[in-house]
Amino acid sequence: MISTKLIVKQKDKKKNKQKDNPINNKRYKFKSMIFVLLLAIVGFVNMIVPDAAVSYSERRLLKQWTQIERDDFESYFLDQFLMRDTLRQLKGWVDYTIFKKNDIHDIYVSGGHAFLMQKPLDTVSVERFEKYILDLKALLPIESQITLGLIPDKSYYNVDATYNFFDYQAMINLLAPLAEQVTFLDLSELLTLDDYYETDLHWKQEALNPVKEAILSSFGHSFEVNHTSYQEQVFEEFYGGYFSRAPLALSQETLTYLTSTLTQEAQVTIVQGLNDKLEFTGVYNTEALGKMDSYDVFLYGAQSIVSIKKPESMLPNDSDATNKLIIFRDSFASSLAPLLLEQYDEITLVDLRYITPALALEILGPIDASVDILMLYQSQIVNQSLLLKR
Amino acid sequence: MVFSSLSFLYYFLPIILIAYYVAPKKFRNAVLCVGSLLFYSVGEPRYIFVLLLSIVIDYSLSLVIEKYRHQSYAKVALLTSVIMNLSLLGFFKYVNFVLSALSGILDLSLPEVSVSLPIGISFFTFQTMSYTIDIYRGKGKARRNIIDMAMYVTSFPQLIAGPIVRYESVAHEIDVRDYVANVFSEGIKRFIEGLAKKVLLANAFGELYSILEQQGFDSFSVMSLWLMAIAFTLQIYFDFSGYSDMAIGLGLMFGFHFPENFNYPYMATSITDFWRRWHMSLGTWFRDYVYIPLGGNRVNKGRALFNVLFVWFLTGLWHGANWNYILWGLYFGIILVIEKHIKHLGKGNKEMFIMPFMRHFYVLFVIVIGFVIFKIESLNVLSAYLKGMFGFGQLPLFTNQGLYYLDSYGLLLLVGIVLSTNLLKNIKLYDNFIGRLFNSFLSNFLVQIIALFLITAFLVDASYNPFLYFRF
Repeated sequence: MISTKLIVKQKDKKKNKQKDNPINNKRYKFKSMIFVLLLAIVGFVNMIVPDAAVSYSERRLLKQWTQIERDDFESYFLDQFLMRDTLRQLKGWVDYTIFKKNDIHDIYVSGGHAFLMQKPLDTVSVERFEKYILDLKALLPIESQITLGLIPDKSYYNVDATYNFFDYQAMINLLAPLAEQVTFLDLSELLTLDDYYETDLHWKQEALNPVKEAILSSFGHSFEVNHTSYQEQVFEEFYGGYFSRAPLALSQETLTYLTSTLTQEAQVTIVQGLNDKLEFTGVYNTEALGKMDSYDVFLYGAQSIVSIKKPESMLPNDSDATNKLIIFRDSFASSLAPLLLEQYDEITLVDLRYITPALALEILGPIDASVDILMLYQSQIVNQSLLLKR
Repeated sequence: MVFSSLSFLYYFLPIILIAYYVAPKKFRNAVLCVGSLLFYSVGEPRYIFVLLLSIVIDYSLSLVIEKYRHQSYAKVALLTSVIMNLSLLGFFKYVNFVLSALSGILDLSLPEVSVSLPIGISFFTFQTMSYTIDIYRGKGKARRNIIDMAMYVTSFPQLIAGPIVRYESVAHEIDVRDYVANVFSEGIKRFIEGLAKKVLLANAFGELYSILEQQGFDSFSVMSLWLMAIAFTLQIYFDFSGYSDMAIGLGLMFGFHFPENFNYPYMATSITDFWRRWHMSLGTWFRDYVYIPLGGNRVNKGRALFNVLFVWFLTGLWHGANWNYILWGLYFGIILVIEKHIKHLGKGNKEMFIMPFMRHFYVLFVIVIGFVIFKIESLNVLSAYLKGMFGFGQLPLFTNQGLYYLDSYGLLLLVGIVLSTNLLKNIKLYDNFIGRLFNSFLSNFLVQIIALFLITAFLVDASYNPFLYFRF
């Protein structure tokens, strides 16, 4: 009897201990194990999933395991983390919706368009640009017809002034003295916000007729401008440059490029050095569509020197009668130049962000005074004129 | 490697935790030591020898100290340890500062030494000095097993950025640690809280500061300078206290109880109170190992004043090898002396100001100005900033850009200000409803998982992720 009572007492003691013990060890153990396992499983799954080569939404190559240098594991893990795009969108959503930030990585959305925050006007940069243009002009034949076209950033057309710290008109005023040296074209009146892509900084090729006419007029040519001979080719999965920069909930859009017999048969030469060239037929690089930057469909993207020529059969018999144009440019001219091929037999595009003026002119050789010279730059380039090589 | 990185979260941490708990208890110190050395070598492979040298020398000297306690050899060994550690710190951190200062004073052009700062050297040298000093004072027994001692010094949770863990506080836990599930769970919670502070808040305030700074001085306004100062004040709090939370949380996961390092410093009612709440492990280190041995305030007034200012000179210098850090230290030293003096003159009033609002305003004002001094290393630029902040820099009161960023980050700033205090815990609504909601086991767990997911999202997106105290 006594031993039974003892056993009961001991059992009660145990029960009371469990009852009195506020710490439910099992739950905490379970939580701890889940936490460690979760970390381990995520890490393990990330290691075994094959590496992605490219992020199309971010428009760049992703770091590969074989490219890790010394202790640079972190950049590899960041690039190859599972659901990377979804996580970036989640972060964008939290910043925008929960924290009520106005922009993500300097990209903001207004009226369905993504814009890049513009830095305030840098008068030193504008003065530097002015000098650059004059120095470039000095390297060209004195009698050359030179037109300087200024393309406004699309934020110029954004009616919401909250984000607008850049005074485009002040830039125009600062560049006014150039009008005494070259024909100055402010293209802001010829464009609207709808003439730009929603997720990209560039203008749409199909909206460039007014720009084309203004440029041709500036050279004093009375070309007959025919706008109906093109066919529209539509690519429906275009993600612009701003889409990649800010993980905002933006949609894909369409990219249209205009084709004709001329654009399809034009001879394209990409100059890669003094003696190195690549040659193609057709001004559009359709292989770029759906890749990292679909805008590279226009004249093969960023190149230091590209020339496009009408097919032999369309060139005038008299070589002295050929109309030539040189465009000193940024990326905007890539979509404009194919449209000018109607009026010019040969167009050479020079991007002075990738090549110095001296080297470019050495490669181009002597320039005849009859060649039209177009300098076409977007306002961001003017405001960051150190981008242009000297 | 930093705690707020994918390589730490999803690779190093689960591996070290699994290896630690799979290993028999008698090998766990070795596992932690090896893991910590690996952690350090990933970030700093060249200078791991500095860490190992410090350990080996202090291990050897601690045995001498214990063997010859109460004899002159012990004192010599202690002095050797202190000199060795300070020499290491002095050379790697201050050699070029000293050369630059000498060049200025003597009008010479002394060449710089090509040396970079080993990560965490300010922390681990102080930690090893704490070891030998505590042995000398009889506050613990010298470790016979060098692995145990090495583990104490290199333990990765606090190796890089503290808290400075005094030997006497963890001596027992080096030998015996309780592994209790709810403590581990508390460690997870603390770690995630710290990670959230760092990734979700500190980085955002750092981003705001950088954006405004990049506008250039020509675009500044009085308002934007104050906005930068407040952004940095919040950034440094969430960055450093977040890191301390992570360190404490990780410590709990491994069975250690590290000391608290922050106690809502921005709720302080005086600067004296502020320094009892901010980076407490450093403050107590200087108090116990420098201020009190110098005599503290139990000496004549002149000497007491010297002691205070000397300690604050060292505190400033510890934070960085530049004149602005020394200025920062002395700035607080002088204010502390003034506060103490006014207290004595207060005729029984313990507070400098009667109204709490005025007290907090004074404290926060002093802190924000202090952090401006801390942040800007060039004294010329610092002078321009301070002038600009008080309207003497011919800057406009505000600009559209400044207003834009105030609007853009306004909610975050408000959240940061509130979370830097314990106001939420004092609100009944929180306690009655929200507190109960988040204190239930399941919801607590879910919140932590969601937080981890969100933190991962921010890490994947961000490239802006430096730890401020990494210069140490």
